[in-house]
Amino acid sequence: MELLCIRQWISGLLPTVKKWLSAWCIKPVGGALVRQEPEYILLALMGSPLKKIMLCSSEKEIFSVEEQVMVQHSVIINNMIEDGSYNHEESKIPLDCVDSKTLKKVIDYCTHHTHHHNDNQEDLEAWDAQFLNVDSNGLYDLLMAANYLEIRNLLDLIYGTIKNMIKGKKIDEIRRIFNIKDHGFTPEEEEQNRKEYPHFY
Amino acid sequence: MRGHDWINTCLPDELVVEIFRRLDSKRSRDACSLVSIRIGATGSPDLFVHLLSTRFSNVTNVHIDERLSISLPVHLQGRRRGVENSSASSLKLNYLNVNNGSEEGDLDSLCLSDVGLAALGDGFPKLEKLSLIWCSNVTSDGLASLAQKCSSLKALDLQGCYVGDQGLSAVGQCCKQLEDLNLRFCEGLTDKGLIELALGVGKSLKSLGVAACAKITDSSMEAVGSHCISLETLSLDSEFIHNQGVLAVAEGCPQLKVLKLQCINVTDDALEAVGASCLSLELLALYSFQRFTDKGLCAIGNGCKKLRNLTLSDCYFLSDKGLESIATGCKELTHLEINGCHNIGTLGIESVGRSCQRLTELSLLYCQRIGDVGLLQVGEGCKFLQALHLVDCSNLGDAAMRGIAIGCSNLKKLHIRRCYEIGTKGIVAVGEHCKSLTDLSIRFCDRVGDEALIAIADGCSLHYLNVSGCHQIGDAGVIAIARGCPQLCYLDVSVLQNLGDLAMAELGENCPLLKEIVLSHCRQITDVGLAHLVKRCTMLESCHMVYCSGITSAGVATVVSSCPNIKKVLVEKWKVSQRTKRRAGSIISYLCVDL
Repeated sequence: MELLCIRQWISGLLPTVKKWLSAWCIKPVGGALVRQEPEYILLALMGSPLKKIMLCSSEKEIFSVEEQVMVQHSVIINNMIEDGSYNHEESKIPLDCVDSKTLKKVIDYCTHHTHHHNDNQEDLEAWDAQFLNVDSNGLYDLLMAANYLEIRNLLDLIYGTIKNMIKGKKIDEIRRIFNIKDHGFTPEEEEQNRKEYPHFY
Repeated sequence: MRGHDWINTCLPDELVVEIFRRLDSKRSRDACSLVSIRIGATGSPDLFVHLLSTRFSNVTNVHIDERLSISLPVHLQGRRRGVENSSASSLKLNYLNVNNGSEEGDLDSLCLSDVGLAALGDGFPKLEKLSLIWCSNVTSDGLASLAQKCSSLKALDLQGCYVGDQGLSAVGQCCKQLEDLNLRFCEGLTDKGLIELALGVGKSLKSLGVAACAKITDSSMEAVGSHCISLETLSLDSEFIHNQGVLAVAEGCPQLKVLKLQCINVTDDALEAVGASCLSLELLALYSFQRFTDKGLCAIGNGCKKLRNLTLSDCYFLSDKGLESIATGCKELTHLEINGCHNIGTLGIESVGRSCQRLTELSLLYCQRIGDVGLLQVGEGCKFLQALHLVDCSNLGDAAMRGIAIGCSNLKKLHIRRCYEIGTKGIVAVGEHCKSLTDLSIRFCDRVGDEALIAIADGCSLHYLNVSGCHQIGDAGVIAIARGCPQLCYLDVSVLQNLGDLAMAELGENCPLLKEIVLSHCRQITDVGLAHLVKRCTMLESCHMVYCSGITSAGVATVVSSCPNIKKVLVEKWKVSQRTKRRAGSIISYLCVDL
């Protein structure tokens, strides 16, 4: 069937099946409950005519995601597809720098922001806050992945979070949050610093 | 990885800087600098310098460059090794200057400031050499406080700093042992500062360089001519200096040995004065768009009998006549470079070949008018020639190569680029006669084939070989080189489409001293060949392999893991796995596709 026919057929079906499909639409994705749009579920059932690309994590797990979603967010993936080094029929994009858990989260972020870009600001911010509700190691993994894939808005989000973790806190507190056990100053230097800037400690 | 300290151990420097940039209050940034030494060093140069000066007391050389990306000195990273009384005498700091003109509040604390410079002066009173490269936050105050503390200062290099006249005068008053001053892009300096410095350190100053400093004019040069009697080296790059200035130095500094001029407003009169007064001159370099004619060059040839080194770059008005006069007058000439002087041709080179018997290095760049006869004469006359550079000399062919090969048996270095008439025959002659050759480069001479390399391998033991772009060369030639040149350290075989894994394996087998290799654009080389290469070439330090479609991330990982001394790998970003990055992140450079 041609893509156009499928779309027409689906839009014809939708009003009647939307109700019973909505029961199927709640799906855990990356630790958060996310509503999947019914159209996409149906398309998935039909055998996705939307252009998909395959991302392969460092653990060799393959994730299928809409090309449009990744191209919109990741400069690296956009470049790879543009310069023709990605062949849709056979290749997958190997992302040896990103493990499966992190890659799944990154894909969630990009997918959510593409499909929900029309949502109001508060809802998006709430979703982002929930998304970044991870421990320090998780934050690091996300930062490195976002940096590698060059996803500007995710990077800004993560830096914003780190900034909030630092701003206004005492140094001992910051060291605790980021697990810094060996700060590198000699005992004399540390003592001198504490004497000179007592309000920071 | 429970509770892992990733900021100090894993996070790359650029990302630490990003975090710093987004802390929008000074308080946050100051506090953050004290969290750990790594964060402080990366984000806060002033603090870092203060720390350095307490930890290292014997430092005599400091070089601070704010153009490049951040790197911590190695000794500070190994903080456990007791850095209290380090014997390090030289420190090099590269800082990323994040002042990109954005309105994001107060970012000044991310660059070295006067406070930092004063701390440097306090901490290193024995300082002898200081270089400040594009430290845009440093002013006269900082330099003055440093000058007051460091009276042993011998060399000062200021590039791209907005230091004013008071700073330089302070140096003139306090640093009476100053021998070497270099000023480049110092827009804040005027004649006043340099004149006061000349007055202060005139007796000791031996070397002066002024480039792109718009407010320094002939008045400064007159002061230099009056006071700097020991001056031996002068390098000027300025459109604001005229004959008057150069004349003053030529007449006032009789010990001048080295003179480099890139001043479009200076004419033959200045050269005539140099020819008349600078009888000790050994090195003369004249660059771009000069108005000099043969008249000036003849004056040099008549006067500067001790001239050893001559560079003529883009001097359009100079012709064979001027060069002849130099050749006959300066018999001690050992180095000659002619670059883009389109009116110099075969006759000029012939006269050099006839008269300059002591010539050891000859460079002819973009000299399309020079023909075979010129080089044949050089071959006959310059028996001591050791290095020959030819770039874009489209009139030179195999006959010229043969002449040089037969005549200059002491030839050690031959670099040819884009001389399309030179082919296999010429290079075979080199292989047959130049037994001392160790350094050969024949980039883009696409008429050269495998037989040439076979002859070279037979006759010479090369250390350095570059055959980039010689697409007729394939496995046979490189295999011969591998077998014949076991001392090979550097190899560039980029853009050779016919080169494959067999050659790589042979190199691995026979060239254990290989340090640097460039394989970019070699489509037929695969992970297999690469693995064979690195298995035995354990001294490999640098590997460039972009646009090699046969090489994958496995190959990259093999290179990184097999070579303990590897310092630089140039490859596409997506070919580097997470593990490889962790293992060797700092040495990997990525191909930039965003241009």
